[in-house]
Amino acid sequence: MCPMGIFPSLQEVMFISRRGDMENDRLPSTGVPPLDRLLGGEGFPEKSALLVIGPPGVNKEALGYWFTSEGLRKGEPCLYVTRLSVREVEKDWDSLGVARAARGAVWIARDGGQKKLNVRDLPGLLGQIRAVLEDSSKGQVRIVFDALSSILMLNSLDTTYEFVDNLIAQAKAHNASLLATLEEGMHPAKTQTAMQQAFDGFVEMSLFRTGLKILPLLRIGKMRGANPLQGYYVFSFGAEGMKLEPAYGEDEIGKPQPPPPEIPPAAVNVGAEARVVFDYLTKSFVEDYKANKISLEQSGWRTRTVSVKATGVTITALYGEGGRFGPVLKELLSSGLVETRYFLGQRGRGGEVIKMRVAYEKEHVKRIVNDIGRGEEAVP
Amino acid sequence: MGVALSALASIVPFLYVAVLAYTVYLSITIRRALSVGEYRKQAMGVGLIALAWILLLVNYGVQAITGSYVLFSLGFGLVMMTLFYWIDSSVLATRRTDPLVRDTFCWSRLRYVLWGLTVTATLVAALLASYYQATSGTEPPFMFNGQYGVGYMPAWFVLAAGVIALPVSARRARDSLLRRNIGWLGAFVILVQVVGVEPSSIANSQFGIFGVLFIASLCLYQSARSLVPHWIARGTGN
Repeated sequence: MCPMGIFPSLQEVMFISRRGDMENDRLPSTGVPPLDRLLGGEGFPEKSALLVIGPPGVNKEALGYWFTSEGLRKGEPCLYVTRLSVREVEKDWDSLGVARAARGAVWIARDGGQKKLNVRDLPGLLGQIRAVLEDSSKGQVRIVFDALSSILMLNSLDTTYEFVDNLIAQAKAHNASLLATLEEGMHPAKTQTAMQQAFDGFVEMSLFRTGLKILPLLRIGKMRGANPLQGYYVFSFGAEGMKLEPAYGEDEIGKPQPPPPEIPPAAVNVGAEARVVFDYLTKSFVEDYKANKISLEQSGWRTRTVSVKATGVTITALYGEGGRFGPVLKELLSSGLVETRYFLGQRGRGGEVIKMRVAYEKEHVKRIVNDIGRGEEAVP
Repeated sequence: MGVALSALASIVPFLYVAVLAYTVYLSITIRRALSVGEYRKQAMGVGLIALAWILLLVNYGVQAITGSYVLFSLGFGLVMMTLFYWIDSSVLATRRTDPLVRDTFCWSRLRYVLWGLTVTATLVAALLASYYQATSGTEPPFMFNGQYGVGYMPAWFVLAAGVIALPVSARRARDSLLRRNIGWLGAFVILVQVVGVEPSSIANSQFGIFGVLFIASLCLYQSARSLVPHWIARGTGN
């Protein structure tokens, strides 16, 4: 999962989020300035939906607290949907020192909110959210959704996927930014991937053990419409906010970032088999987009079976045990060169199938794709 | 063969202590990496159990020299309290991962009663042992005489709570990390139950007893390890 194996010694640079040390009224700030910088420097794109994924105990909800707190500080309407009671969330806010002013949000909660949360009644929940969004139709709106895992566990994947699609569409229609949380380790890998694909971007927070150290690490998985900094960052929470330190020392959050260096295709640092698969996926993407005139969103998706046949790599390179990804696919995913998505209803009886393609939204991958199709119109 | 077995028998207790000591370290490190109180306590609980079992081993030695059953009684009570601390934090943590956030058996209130009973039982057992030893100078016959001895009072409440509340909580929680943690710690408890915790049983068959305890300590280590979702092997880059 980690792209570079063992961590070198951490840099001394440390960045601490402080309220108000980064003002930007144009883009919705996450309320955590170092995270804003990771996302491209100014928060995340307007009307975006961001998913925070992590195992229980890493406090991914804290990002929701600061997101809400920041919105209310700027006078933006905030909606907080939680499976916990308002009192429990407030207790967590207190432990993190999140401003009391943040309590001016509209709550849909298990207990103590303006509206009661029923995770089994998804149409009703969408109706509640729509009502709040219509009531607060001026300016940007912020939604924190901390009930996705509960909904996934109590409803079918199809129903939940439809709900999430509607929720995101509704949020965008009302000029709202959405931040949702998802528990790692509670859902099958395919469910998690499907959720990642539904959102515009996702942030991973998890615990990693390396040698004798246990590190809480954060990384931006993707962020549509932005150019996020890649890599893992050690995170911690303190009275002053969330701290992020580069795990590898190659990035300095908070300092103006130089433009990313030109990476020629030859610099793709993966093994021989992974390179073969990557080249095939790159050519497939170019072929779909340029020759077959398929939209960017739909271009380049190939199943693992088709890729195995086309490239001649072994099946076990792409298929792991127990439905997991094989080592070559893992390598490509961890290096950020490839992305996967679950396609529902692609097989008989409504089954789903996983497909992969080059992660064309990433700047260096885009360059590689354009390099392959040199002489023709570049992929936007 | 006999020499090898003898050498192994002398190494196993050290391995047992080493695994427990590493488990303590690992638990503290995991606790530091976590941010939410309930999960931090759960990680700490595993470490405290490991620490209590190291202390219990020291206690056996002291008890063998001094003949003090008060010390043993207190040591046993400490082990039970650490076990209850972990059960308590696990039930509270699993509640947060339950999609319906159910309060299993009204645990948020029941826990105070059970804490009171466990601490009181430990103190009563220690006081009784102290009184009997002061008056007769021998082991109180009712203390560790069979599984219903007064000395085992703290265990009754702890085990009852663990057997009833934990499986229900674990079933309600959908988190695979917590389930694995509970499963491995359950295996540890079962193995130490097989061995028993009486000083005489430890003294009688060192190799056999420590062999089982060593396996139990590995289960405890796995329990701590299961709280970390991602492991990066040195140099593999995975």
